[in-house]
Formats: sequence, structure tokens, C-alpha cells
Amino acid sequence: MTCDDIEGRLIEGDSSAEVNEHLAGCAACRAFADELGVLTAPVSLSAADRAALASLEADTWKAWQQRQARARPSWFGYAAAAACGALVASAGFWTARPVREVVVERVVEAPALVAEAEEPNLGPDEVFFEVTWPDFPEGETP
Amino acid sequence: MPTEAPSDGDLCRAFLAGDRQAFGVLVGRYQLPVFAVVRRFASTPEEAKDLTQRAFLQAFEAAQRTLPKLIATAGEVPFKAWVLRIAVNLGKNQARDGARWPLAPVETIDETASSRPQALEALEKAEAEALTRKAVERLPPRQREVFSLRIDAGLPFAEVAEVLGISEGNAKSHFHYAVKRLRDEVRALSATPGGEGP
Repeated sequence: MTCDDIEGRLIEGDSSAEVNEHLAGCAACRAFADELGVLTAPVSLSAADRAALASLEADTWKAWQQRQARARPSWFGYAAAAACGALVASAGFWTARPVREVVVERVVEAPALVAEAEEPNLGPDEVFFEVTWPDFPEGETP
Repeated sequence: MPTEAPSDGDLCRAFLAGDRQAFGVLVGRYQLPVFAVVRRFASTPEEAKDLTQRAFLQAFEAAQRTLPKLIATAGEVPFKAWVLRIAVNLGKNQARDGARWPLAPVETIDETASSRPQALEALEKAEAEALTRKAVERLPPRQREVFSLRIDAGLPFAEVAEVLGISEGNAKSHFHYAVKRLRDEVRALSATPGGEGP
């Protein structure tokens, strides 16, 4: 196994017997392993970091509750939403209501259907009688 | 008789059903890797805490959105992948917004050292760490994400790949390039007075 192979395996965190055996006999790879240890050391947490972590859970819980309260609509919100809904619905009904159609009728004066009856041409000693068949009540016919 | 720890899926379902304790267990389970990932991108512990908190809140909201599916299926919930993916994105945004990278003061790192040799050793360690952090800042985004998830969150390559949605081989490849580049950067920074590179 070459030094390049060992470098690659060290980078991947391989600490097998094979790698250790190579390190024992190779000063260059040991130096690389030491350097790698420094490069890949996690960030040290200071006392201030640990203090921040100590209150993290409780503060995150508070923040979660606040978010949930903001996300949940209040009773006022429900009432306002209902009022808006009613307003929109009534406006909808008003615009969609059936409208009675206005029909304009044209009144046409019909010509006189009955011509005026002509006066009978009678002499001074003549009398005009209009004779009609009398209406008898039912059962009294002569 | 030891009882088996509840899975992330069980805890998510319990929390979304109102179990406060399940929330605590989930946060406790992943707060350290999430905090460690965002710590690289944050300038102060408070900023790191804020990013960690946001990562958890967004992950819980993601769980809430998929609640019906969660209840219907007994399938595994990738909560760890969610929260770490979100943490990486938040950290990346933080770095992009340019507020980042004044290094943590050495004295805050060196609180446990009492004797002189220990103090010197701790100082050297802190300096090496500061140089490495500066060098990590200069990595291309994908290499930095892989590096942070592998080193800070301590994830195996398979999980790094799952979080980032890439293949395991790709994750390994990015990590190899990142380490080699870091080595060159740290050497260059060490050679520069004051550790400030170009």
C-alpha cells in the first residue's frame, strides 16, 4: 500500500491494523496523520457555548408555543372571517337575484268596431219601436 | 431489562400529539451536532443558539406539515437529516450575509487550563483551531458543508450524503478535496504574519 493510499484511508477515518502498521514504519504518513488530527478537530465549545446550549431546549419550547399561538386563529379572527364570508355571500346573492323583465306594452287604439246605428228615417207621425224577444225565466216559457 | 430508545419517528408522532417530553428528548438528542454545525458559521454563542433554535423549529414545522402521512404510515421520519440539512442551510445563509468569522477569543477556549504547560498547549491548540476555522471559511460551499457535517456533526459519510442529497462517493470525494485544500490553506496562513491570508 502506498503513502497516497494511506492518506486517502486516513482522511476517511480508517484506523485498521493495516493502516497502523504502515504508520509505524512511515514518518511522513505519521506527520500527515498528526496534521490531519489538527485539521479535523471539531470546534471547541467554550463556556459561553455550553451556557447557550443549557437553555436551548426550554427557549426552543417557548418559541414553538409562540409560533403555534400565532398560527392558530383567535375567536376574533373566526368572527371576522365569518362576517367577511356573510358579506361576500350576500353581495353574491344580490348580484345573482332574478330580475323581473320589464315589458312595455304598446296601446293601440282600435278603430270603432260598431258603426253608429243609423237613425231610422221616420215621418212626424211615425213611431219607431225596437222589438226584441223577451227573456223569460227558465220554466216560464209561454 | 434495558428498554429500547424510542425512534425519531415515534418521538415526532408523540410530540405532535402533544407530548412535551418527546420534544425535549428530540431536541436533546440532536442539539449538540446541530449547534456544532452552525457554530462554525456564527460569530457568537448567542447567534449559534438562535440558528440552532430556528433549525429545530423549522424541522418541527416540517414534521407538522407531514403529520397526516406520519400518522398514517409507521415509516421512519428522517428528523436528523431534516434538522441538520436546515442547520447547514441556515449556516450557509449566515455566512453569505457576511456577518461571520471573527474568531472566538482564545481566553474563552482556554478556561480549563491551569498550569503553564497546559496553558501553552491549550493556546497552541486554540491557535491551530483558529487557523483551521479561517481556512474552512475559504472552502467552496459544498466542501464546507461536507466538512462541517462530517467533523462537527460527526456523521458517517452515508449520513452526510443523505443530508445533502448526494451519493456517498461524492461526499467522500468532497471531503478529500476539502482536507487537502485545508492543509494548503493552513500552511499558507501559518506562514503569513498574524495568520491573515490574502
